[in-house]
Amino acid sequence: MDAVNRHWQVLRALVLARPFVLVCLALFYVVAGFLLLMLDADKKISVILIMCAIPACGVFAIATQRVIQYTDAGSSLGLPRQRESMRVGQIWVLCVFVGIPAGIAAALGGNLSYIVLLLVPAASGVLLAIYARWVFFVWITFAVTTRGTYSFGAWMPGLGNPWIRAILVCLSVAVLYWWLGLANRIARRSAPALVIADARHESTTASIGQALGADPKQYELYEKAYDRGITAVVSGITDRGITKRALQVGLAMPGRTNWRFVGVMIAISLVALLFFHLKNPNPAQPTAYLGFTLLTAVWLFGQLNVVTQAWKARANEEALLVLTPRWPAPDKLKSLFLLIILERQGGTWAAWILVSLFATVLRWAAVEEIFISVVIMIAASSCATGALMLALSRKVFKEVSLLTIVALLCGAVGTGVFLVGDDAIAHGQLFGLSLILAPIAVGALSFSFRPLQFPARIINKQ
Amino acid sequence: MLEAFKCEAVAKSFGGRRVLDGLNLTVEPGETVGLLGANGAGKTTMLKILLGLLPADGGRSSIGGEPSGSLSSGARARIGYVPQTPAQFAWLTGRAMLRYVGAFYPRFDWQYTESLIERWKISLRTPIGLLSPGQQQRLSIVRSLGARPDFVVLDEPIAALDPATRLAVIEELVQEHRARGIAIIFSSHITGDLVRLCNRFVVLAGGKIALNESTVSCGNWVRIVVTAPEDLLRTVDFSRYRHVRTPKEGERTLVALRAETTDALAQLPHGVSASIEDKDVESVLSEWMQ
Repeated sequence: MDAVNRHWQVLRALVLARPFVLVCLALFYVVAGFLLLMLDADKKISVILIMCAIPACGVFAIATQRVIQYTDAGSSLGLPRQRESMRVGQIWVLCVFVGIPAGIAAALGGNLSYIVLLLVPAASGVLLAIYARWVFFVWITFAVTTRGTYSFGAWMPGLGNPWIRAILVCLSVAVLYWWLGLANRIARRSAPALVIADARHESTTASIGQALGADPKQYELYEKAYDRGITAVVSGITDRGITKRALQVGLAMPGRTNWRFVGVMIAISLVALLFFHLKNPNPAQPTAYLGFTLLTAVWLFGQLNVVTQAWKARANEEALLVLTPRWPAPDKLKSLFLLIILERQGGTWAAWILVSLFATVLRWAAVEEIFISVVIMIAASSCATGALMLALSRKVFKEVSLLTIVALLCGAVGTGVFLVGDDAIAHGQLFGLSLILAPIAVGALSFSFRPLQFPARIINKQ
Repeated sequence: MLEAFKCEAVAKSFGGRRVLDGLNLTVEPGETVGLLGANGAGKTTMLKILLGLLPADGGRSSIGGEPSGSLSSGARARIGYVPQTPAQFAWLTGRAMLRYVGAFYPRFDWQYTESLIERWKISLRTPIGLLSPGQQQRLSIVRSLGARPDFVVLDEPIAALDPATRLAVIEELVQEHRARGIAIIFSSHITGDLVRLCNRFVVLAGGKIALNESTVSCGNWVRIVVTAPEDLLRTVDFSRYRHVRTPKEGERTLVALRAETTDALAQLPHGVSASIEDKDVESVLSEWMQ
């Protein structure tokens, strides 16, 4: 009985502990139940499979995210039997959300080779949780650039082919097998790191290298370079103010743009564009260039997200720095943040401009697409910059901020309205442009006139 | 002379919960105050408001006569702060952290810092994130003292330290206090350490200062437990005692001056039994925390 209770607790924690999830699941299964009662016997199996596939995808995505979260927290605290509990919970999720519907479909006389396809949404949920934005954008990119050839709907007739079904099931089994070992892998990664309790290991360079598991000679070289780096940073802290680099070191923010990485990304993008251009040379069709722009927009968001994450994670260090005599006045600090915001976007814009130039000159993209891409990039920059500025100038930082969501929606809706244009809506382009620029305008106003939130004050709404 | 630290009617709420409720506290230059309170009593909140790191909902706070929210560069140079969480700048090595933070102080005392590092055996070449909490805590204290501050705020700084290092830290603070007359607010749950260092105890409870008394007078108090039928206890006048608490029906815990205990007990009515729990300052002070 204890074991059943424990398993139920883990299942509850993994999937059911949120009212929203429960309501969604209940709705799905209630609707499925009604449909089952109303439909003919031959259609019942398809309904069961489809109505259970959609929640299965969501449930597996939620469960994966929580397995990662709980295992990470549990392992770093050294909780016993955490991995086993997670694995048992995962097996329960698999049984309840895949096993039971599959069992019912089998009892109704369904074709086994179709029933096992229920594993596919489960595996998709796992992938969606881990590689969400990449899965989403790769899918969108393919759908856009190939005019729906690879969209979800296009896959459905393909399921009639037994070989495709077999491949999908095999891939799903592989993903789910990997998923069942996820807790183990995370636990190994999150185990408490090496802790050094006294200074004895620092008697010689060799001993410290040994203690830290590094080659002593390499460590010595690294230490010298590191000291030089700190000397350069420290020289930027004077009575007149501090440099941008000094602020970045204090908040553990990445420093200058990694131009080598930008160069590699440009090269990869050009090769990918060339590949798609050779596959689809007709310039009348949307090309992979639009997909590239979407990925670049996501990259831009990521670049500014690094600043947000560093700022909110270093509240303790910020509290110490703000109490030091040479810490700059709020206005100067705002200027430094502004410089960082601009610098963080530099690499992304440079990559996009360079690839766009190539795409235009080599006629890999139509002028119309270039225009759409410019709008998308401006909207992404406006939203990301506006959201960060709003966060920096609020009284407290909230994980879920309505204002930020509104800013992001403005950008997205504005892009759509602008691209639809004046034909569909009166003054559509003007309205769209206003919406696109609204986030950065509101953010800049708030950032200019409101006090900077430093140190960060985080409110977690669990 | 201006007060080292001052809170006037400071109020703060979190999500509708009143953590500080019109709190008043003054610490004069050269005073060492031990701050006590149950977990969640608002000690860290009070210290953060005092340092200007958290805006108060109401009231005023100042350090060295300057409002906490707008401290001048000169005032900041005189402040030393050791926060509760020791792992600050975990991505830097100890030496890099001290060089980095030290650069923000025009007169960071490197000689003194190095002597502390030597005496407290601190790792400087290892990333702070890999150090034990005790090592991180020592580094944090060294960083704070290296600036030679006049106003020091320590928020549970010695919880992770071994007894020998704890004593060494307290001794260092005592010496600094004697030599330079620094004002200290020391928040801790280890009353023994506070007795060694502080000349005043402040206990926070219910969002207010429940006790503000010199260490010497707290040492003269005893805790008395009286038991009797509740009806009888209700008729007894306990107003002469320093503190009265009702842990359960038919029982009162009292705090009284050691010298007056015999007289006080003699005046209790027939049927009330009393026992003197003469343990230590900690058990007496804990009466205000409950």
